[in-house]
Amino acid sequence: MFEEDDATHRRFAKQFAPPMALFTVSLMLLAPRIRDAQTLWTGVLLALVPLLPLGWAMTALVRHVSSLDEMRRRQHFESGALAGLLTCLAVFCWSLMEMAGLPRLPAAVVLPVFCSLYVLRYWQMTRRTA
Amino acid sequence: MNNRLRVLRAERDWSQAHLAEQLDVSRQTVNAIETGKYDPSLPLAFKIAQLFQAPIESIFQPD
Repeated sequence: MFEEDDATHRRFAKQFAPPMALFTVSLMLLAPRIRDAQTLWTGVLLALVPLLPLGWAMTALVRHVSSLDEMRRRQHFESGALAGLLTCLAVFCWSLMEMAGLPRLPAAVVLPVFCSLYVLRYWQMTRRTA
Repeated sequence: MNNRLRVLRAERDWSQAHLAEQLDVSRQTVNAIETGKYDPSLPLAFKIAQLFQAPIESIFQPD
């Protein structure tokens, strides 16, 4: 039996929010220290620490999508596919424009761009089938 | 794809929520199928046909 959306979303929020909060906090605390790390590998290790809560959050997302019924699962997959395609296109275009003189962006912007497009597309699709 | 899901449901006086429970999907999915916004997968279509004891082609028709 698939629960109504509200209960499902609340459960997902409870599982997703804590690791995302941990990810945000660890990123804010460690980002300034990465550049000032004494050795290369210390910097690398510090850079990888935020990935642990991020992996935990992604696991919660995968578990959530797997628990949904076929229509919602398909909407998630289609949203992810479109977000991936648009992100690749945007990154590729921007890298070409960097050659023309536009400011250089760090690779770390890829994830927020992808996530924003994913959420936007998923919201758009679920509005149609609410 | 057109379907007679709403008609069949109404004949049995079932709510969308009740039908969703029978099919093990969400109410939103039932609503989306009825309004033509979503075409069910083959296993789900077979499940629907089995539930209503009707051939698939009598429930779902191409546009």
